[in-house]
Amino acid sequence: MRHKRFNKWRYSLVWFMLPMILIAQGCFHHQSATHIKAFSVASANLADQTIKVYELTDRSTVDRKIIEIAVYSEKELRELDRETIDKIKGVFSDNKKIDTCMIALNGIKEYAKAIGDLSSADYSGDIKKASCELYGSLTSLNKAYKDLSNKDLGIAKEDFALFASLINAIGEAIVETKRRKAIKDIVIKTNPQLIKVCDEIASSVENNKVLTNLDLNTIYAEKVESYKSDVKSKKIIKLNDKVSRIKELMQCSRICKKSETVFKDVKEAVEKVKRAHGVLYESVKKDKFTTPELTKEIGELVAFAKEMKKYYDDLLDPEKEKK
Amino acid sequence: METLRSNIVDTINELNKLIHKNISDEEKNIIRKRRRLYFALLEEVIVQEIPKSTEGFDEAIEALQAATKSINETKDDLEKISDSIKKVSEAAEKIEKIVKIGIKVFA
Repeated sequence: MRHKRFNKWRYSLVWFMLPMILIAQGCFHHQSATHIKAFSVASANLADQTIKVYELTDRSTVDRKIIEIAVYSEKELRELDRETIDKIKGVFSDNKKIDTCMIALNGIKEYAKAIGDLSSADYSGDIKKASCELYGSLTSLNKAYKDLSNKDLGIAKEDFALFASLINAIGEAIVETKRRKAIKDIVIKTNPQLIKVCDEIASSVENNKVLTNLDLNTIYAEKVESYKSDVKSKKIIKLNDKVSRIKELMQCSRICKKSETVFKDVKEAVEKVKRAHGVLYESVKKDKFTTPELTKEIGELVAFAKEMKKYYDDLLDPEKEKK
Repeated sequence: METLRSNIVDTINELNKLIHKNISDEEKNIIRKRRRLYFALLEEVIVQEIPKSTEGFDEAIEALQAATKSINETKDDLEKISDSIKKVSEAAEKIEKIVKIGIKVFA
């Protein structure tokens, strides 16, 4: 009788505890997934913004070269040929370092995305997809770092194999503990490499800043000259036409000013991604997927990514810049 | 630390300011030509990452600073413009000797 009662009690306990265990496991997954997903989205956004800043450098150089031809003297105009037009190129075509930084940034973006997808995937198919993304991103980071610094990033073939086996172990039914183990090991192994790539990117930002600011200021100087010349030669007479041209100059000046701060913010963005990943690294090392430090760091990363996108939208999006 | 890059940037910035002054179209065209030349040199300086120990480095820096100073003075005294353009060309020649991109500079 006693045995029967015990069984009944145990049976009830199981039914009482089961939903709690499931809820707890869900929260456990949800919490870690939320943090890693937030890190992933913000880091990918910041990497994307940084890529756009690099594209701005390329675009502003092309625009400046076009303006230079547009203000040719009559004599130079007579000599304008196809060769001159074909020479209008951005800095990427001849500058391997900038090109490599773009590859590295794409690597960071894809890595952040893969980690986020891995943390939140609900189906084995999604896990496999995240695994492929991770493989691709680490390959890009490896190559970019080698090109930038002539040194090896230190991700060996065995590491790729280890990551693949960790991800495979998550299994068809997605075992949460194995997912966490996979994320933990990947973050730990990748952290030193991410630091190296972020440092290389931050050190290359200064050249882009110099060139972009100079390009944009030259474009502005020529637009002012063109306005003055058009007024002087009475090409524009109507007040409304003058007003719209001055508004164009105002927009151009605003873009110049924003370009002076965007590179400082890019440097900070790269630094923030590096720091947040570092805190994530310290947390997962202790098997913690959520800590107050991580919450704070990721919160700052998310806020910075949002602010940067909002403030520089017109500078970094060529379509919006025209409006 | 003085770098070729920062000195070229200073000179281009001064040329951009000089273009707004009350000078002839011909003078403006010369300034634009020199500015194009300086941009080509700047792009090359960035790619090559020239060390300070390179032969002719210090002379190029000195020439660039003299050119920038001269343009700055010209903004107040436009009579000095031909002297400024000459100094800008001389500095360009000195940078060309370092980066060797095969541009002929005419003073």
